[in-house]
Amino acid sequence: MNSKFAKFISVLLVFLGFSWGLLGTAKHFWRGETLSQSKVEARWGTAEFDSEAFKKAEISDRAKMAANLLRNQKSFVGKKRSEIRKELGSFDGFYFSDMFPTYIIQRGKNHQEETWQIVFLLDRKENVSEIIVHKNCCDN
Amino acid sequence: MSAKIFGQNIKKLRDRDKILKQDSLPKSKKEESPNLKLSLKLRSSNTIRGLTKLFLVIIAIWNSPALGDEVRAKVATDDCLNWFTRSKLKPGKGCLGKCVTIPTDMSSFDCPNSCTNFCDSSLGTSALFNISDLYPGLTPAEKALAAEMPSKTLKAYQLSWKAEQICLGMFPASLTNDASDGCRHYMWSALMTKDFGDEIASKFLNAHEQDPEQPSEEKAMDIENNKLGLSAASLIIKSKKFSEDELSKKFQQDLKSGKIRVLKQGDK
Repeated sequence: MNSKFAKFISVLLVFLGFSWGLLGTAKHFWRGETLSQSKVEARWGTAEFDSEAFKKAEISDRAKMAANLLRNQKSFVGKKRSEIRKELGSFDGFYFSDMFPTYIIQRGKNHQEETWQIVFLLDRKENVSEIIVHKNCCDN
Repeated sequence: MSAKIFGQNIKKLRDRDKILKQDSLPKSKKEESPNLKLSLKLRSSNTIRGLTKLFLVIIAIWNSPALGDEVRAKVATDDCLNWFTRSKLKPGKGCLGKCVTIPTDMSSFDCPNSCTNFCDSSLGTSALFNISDLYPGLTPAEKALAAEMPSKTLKAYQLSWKAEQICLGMFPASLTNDASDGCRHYMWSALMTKDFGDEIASKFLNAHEQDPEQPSEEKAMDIENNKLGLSAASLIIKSKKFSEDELSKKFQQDLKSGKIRVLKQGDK
C-alpha cells in the first residue's frame, strides 16, 4: 500500500513538473520574447508616461515611457481597446492579430536589427489584462 | 452424474486458481497476449477521450453565464432576446455566423455570446464557440466560424502564421497600416484560397474584418488587400505554378505598381 502510494505521488510529481515545464514553454512560445520592467528601464531609460506626449512622440521618446507604462499597468487593466486608442493613438505594431493594441518603441531597419513593441494583452471580454514589451522581429 | 458435476467444479476451481496465481505474478512474468495489449490500448484511448470530454464540459460550464451574476444574466438575456428577435434570424444552419454579426449597442454588447443558445446550436458547436472565446484575438464572427468549422479554422490560423513569416522575409518588422500589413492580408488570402477555395477563404476573410472597433479606413485597406490576394492566388492556381515564391513575386509586382493599398509609408 505504502509503495503504491509512493509510486502514485512520484508519478503525480513528474506529471506536475512536466505540465509546469510545458506551460512555461507554451507561454514563451505564445508570447514570444518579452522584457521585464527592469530590463526595459535599463535599455531605454525611464520617463513619466504622458498620454498626449506619447501620441506625438518619436519612437525613441515613446520607448522611454515604456517602463513607466509597465510599472503603472494597473491603471490600464480593464480598459477597452477603443480607450487605449484614444489615450495612446493608433496602433502601429502587430501581435498575432489586428485586435491587440501595439506600439512600436524600437524599429529595426533590416533583419539584423531588432524591433520591439508595447503590447496590451486582452482578456476574454477584449479588455486589457496586461501590458508586455515584446520583440516584434527578428530572431538573429 | 453428481460425480461428473463435482469433477467439473473442481476443474473450474483449479482454473480459477491458475488465473489468480498468474495475476499475483510480477508484471514482467505475466504473459501479455495481443488481446491484453489491445484492451490496454483501448482503455488508454478511452481515458484520453474521457479526459477530452471532461475538459470540454468544464470549459463549457466555466463559460456558461449561469456562473455569473444571476440578475445581470437575466437582464442581459431579456435584452439579448429582444436583440435576436429584432434581427428576424431563424435558428438552424448558418444562423450562428449571421447572429454574431448583428450590430450591438450598449444594452446588447455581450449578446453575440448568447448566439449559440438562440440558434439552437449543438452541444459540440456551443462548446467550441465557448472555447474559442478563450482566444481573445478572434472577432465574434471568427469564433462562430471556429465553432462551425473547427479544423478549417485551425488551418486558417496556421496559414495566418505562415503569411506573417513570408512577409517577415520581405519586411524587417510586422507593422500596422503599412506594406507589411498589406502583405499579411494579401498572403493570408492567397494561401487560404489555395487550401480552401475562394468561397471558404472569403468567409474567413470577411469574418476577420467584422471587428466593430476597427477604424473604417483600416478596414477598407484590409478588404482591398484581401481581394488582391484572392485574385492573385486564382491567377497563379490557373497557371498551375502556385508556390510561395510565385506569390511573393506577384505581391512585389503589385506593391511596385501601387495596387497594394497602404495608409502609411516607411518609418515614422
